[in-house]
Amino acid sequence: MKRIKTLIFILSIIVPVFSLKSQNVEFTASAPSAVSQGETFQVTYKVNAKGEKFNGPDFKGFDVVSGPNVSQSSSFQFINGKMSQSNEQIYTYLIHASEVGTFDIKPASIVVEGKTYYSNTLRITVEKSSSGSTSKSPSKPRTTPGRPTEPIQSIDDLSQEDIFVKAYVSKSNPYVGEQVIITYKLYTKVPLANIRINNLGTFPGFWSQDLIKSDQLQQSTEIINGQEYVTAEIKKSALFPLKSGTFNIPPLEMEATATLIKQRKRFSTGDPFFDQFFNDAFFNTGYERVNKKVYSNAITITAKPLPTSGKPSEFSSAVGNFKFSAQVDRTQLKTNEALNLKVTISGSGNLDMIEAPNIKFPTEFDTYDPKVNSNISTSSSGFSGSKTFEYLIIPRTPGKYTIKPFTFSYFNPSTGRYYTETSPEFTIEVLKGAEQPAGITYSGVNQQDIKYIGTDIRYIKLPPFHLRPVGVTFFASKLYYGILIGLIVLFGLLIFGIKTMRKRRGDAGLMRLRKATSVATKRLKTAHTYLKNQQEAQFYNEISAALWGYISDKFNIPMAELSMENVENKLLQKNVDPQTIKAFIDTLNNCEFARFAPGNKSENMEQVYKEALSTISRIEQELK
Amino acid sequence: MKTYFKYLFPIILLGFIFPTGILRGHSNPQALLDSATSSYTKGFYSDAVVYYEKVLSMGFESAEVYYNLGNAYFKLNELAPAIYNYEKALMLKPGDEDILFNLKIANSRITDKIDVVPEFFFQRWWESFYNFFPTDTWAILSLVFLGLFLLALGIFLLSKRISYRKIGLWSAVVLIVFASFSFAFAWKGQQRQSEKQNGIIFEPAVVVKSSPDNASVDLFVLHEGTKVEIQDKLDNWVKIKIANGNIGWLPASTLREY
Repeated sequence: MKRIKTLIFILSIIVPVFSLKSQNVEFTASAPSAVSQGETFQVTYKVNAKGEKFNGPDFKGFDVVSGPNVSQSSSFQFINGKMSQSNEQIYTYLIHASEVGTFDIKPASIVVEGKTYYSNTLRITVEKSSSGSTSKSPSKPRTTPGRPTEPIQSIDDLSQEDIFVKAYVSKSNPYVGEQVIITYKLYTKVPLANIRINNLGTFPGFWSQDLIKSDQLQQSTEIINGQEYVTAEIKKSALFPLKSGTFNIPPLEMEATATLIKQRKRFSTGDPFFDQFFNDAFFNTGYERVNKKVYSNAITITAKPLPTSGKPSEFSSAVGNFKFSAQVDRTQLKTNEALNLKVTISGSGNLDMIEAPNIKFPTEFDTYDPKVNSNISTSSSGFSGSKTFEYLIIPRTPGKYTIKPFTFSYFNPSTGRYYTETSPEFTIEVLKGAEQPAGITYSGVNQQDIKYIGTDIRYIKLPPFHLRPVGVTFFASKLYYGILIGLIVLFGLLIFGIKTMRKRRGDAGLMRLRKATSVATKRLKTAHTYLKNQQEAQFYNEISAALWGYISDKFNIPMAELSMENVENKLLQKNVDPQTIKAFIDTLNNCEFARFAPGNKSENMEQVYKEALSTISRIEQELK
Repeated sequence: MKTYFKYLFPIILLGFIFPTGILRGHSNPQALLDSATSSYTKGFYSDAVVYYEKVLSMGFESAEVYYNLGNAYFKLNELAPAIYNYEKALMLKPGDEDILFNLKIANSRITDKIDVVPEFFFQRWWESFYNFFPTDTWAILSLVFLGLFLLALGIFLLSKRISYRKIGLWSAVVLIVFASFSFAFAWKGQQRQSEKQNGIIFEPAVVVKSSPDNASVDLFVLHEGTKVEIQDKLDNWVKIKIANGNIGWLPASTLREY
């Protein structure tokens, strides 16, 4: 139960919202059913909902002056607790009837909440231009209410041929930036008391400048089709297309107040006197002011882009016929004095859009933004005059500087070509100023950080340089490995060769000499173990053998030739120090003696061992 | 003993002379290089490109040719070939200041800005060591060090005096370390040149895919001139890794390997 209640509650909230949305959509078109030729009238499409994607008809047989213009309104209403919302969108066209006949205007379409709606078809009969067409306008203050008179006929004979505004351009297919002069000219056969321009023509896509002021109209007369018209240029503007494309200039709307001579039909009151009285010339003629809205024709201008071929890189936006000059007021000055560089561009064209030329001053110059002076006259023939850029330059360091030539490029639409004019090169000599500017004291050297002006890649490497076959590296080559292996093999051979050579030289003694010390050391080591174990006999044997063997090996004397008697002579022959020989023989004697003599043998053993060691090391040292 | 040295020295000398002495006789490529230089100086960069490419197509190369060609492409505002040639030049002459400078400028003008993942410090040291000499110089150095090592070893083995033997032993140990390092550097450089491990994107914009398949997920977009590391290949696809560590697959035709 509770759930159902909740559901009902939710539904009661949602349902009104839906009902609000699902109102009937009405999409209606309305227009006068009959108009006269040359008349401009409104066609209105009204939809009572929020629509989108409005698609208007093509108005075959008519000229669209402007439109669709959209206006929107929406309102909420609460009546007796019920809310109602109403939306309204109105699309309005201003249509000019140019041809006579009956025309059907096809339905327009609009999408409302995803559904497409179509309006009704309109049937409009265009009658041949006749008098009284403007009488339909209710705004006319012509009829005087409360005066039961017969319809007035002649005063409102203001047809399209009596007053009209013609718009024309000097060129309908200009280049971007080229000057186009648009002129609105008023033609009238009737005297006009006042004119008022309702919408000052806007020029989307153009930069515009009015050329004449509307309060100084110059009148002249012109004869068209045998009829004499008084003409005046009511508006004249210079237009400069800002981009390429097709632009529609909407018509100018103007309200003219004509002063007409009123002529009434004769009154017939039945009373001849009164008839006579009212039909008197004094009463019979009068002046009346009639307001009339006049539209000019719409104009289409197709701006073409500037040609890309031959476009100089410095070209910015100057289009026209110009002259270019540049001058400096002096070429020699002192530091901290001012120098003026004046660039003048004169001629006709879009002078206002010309930018200051890009001048590269030496970095040692202090420069300021140029003072721009334009002297532009807006005559009826268009824009012309001159524009000057004045650069104030203050050199800060003495020296000789040049201001590099700079260029000004423009496009001349009459020849269809680009022109580039170049300034002369200015050489400026800056002398050292007599005094420093007040308030600045310099301490030490006036150093500055290096100014980096631009970045670029470094320059190419200059030949000659060594080329090699692609992909071949020394490392991967056979030569590399050949050398590598060759080196190792050579080394092995070299070592082996040297070693064998040394052996072959038969230097066996040398080998023996090497061996001597090691053999003696070994024997002495064994003796030392015997010493520790108190094995006397073995100890003395070992010591004696070590000493004899050492002598034999060291001095290359065969063992058999050696005896206690001849050892001294033999050693003397080998140029051994006699003292050493004596120590050696003493050690040997001590050894022999200890072997067979009684006494404290262990004490002797210690001494003999020490003596043997010292003797051997003594000889070793001597031989070094 | 003298006879051994008679042969040893010419062989060692040959090792020094080889990379410079060979190819001196070809006058035609040198003439092309001269025309290229004068074209570049006059500002006819496209002519310079033609000359340099001709030298390369004749089967010759050098770091300078690649560098100059890169410069000419840069002046023509063709950044992808410019970067490609700078990288090639850098491969032959790692650590060359001019090449590094111009490569940096060219890389600053391409569309993709990639934050490089910083390398580990000893990897940086290794790189800077390796970049110290071109590959060929490392190869020669390895031979020189090997020769000196063997000399020291010989002294150690043959000398009778202990002091000489000591000197010989220690210098042999130091020299064998030098020799093996320069061998390793030469080997690394050789590997870099023979195995094409990097590539430059040549298409204006390419979509990097998650797998070597056109239907796979788009990961990111790379633009002309960006350097990628090639990790793998499959049919007409390459697996690439960009400097910030992202990995994906690209059709092989969109990049040029080096």
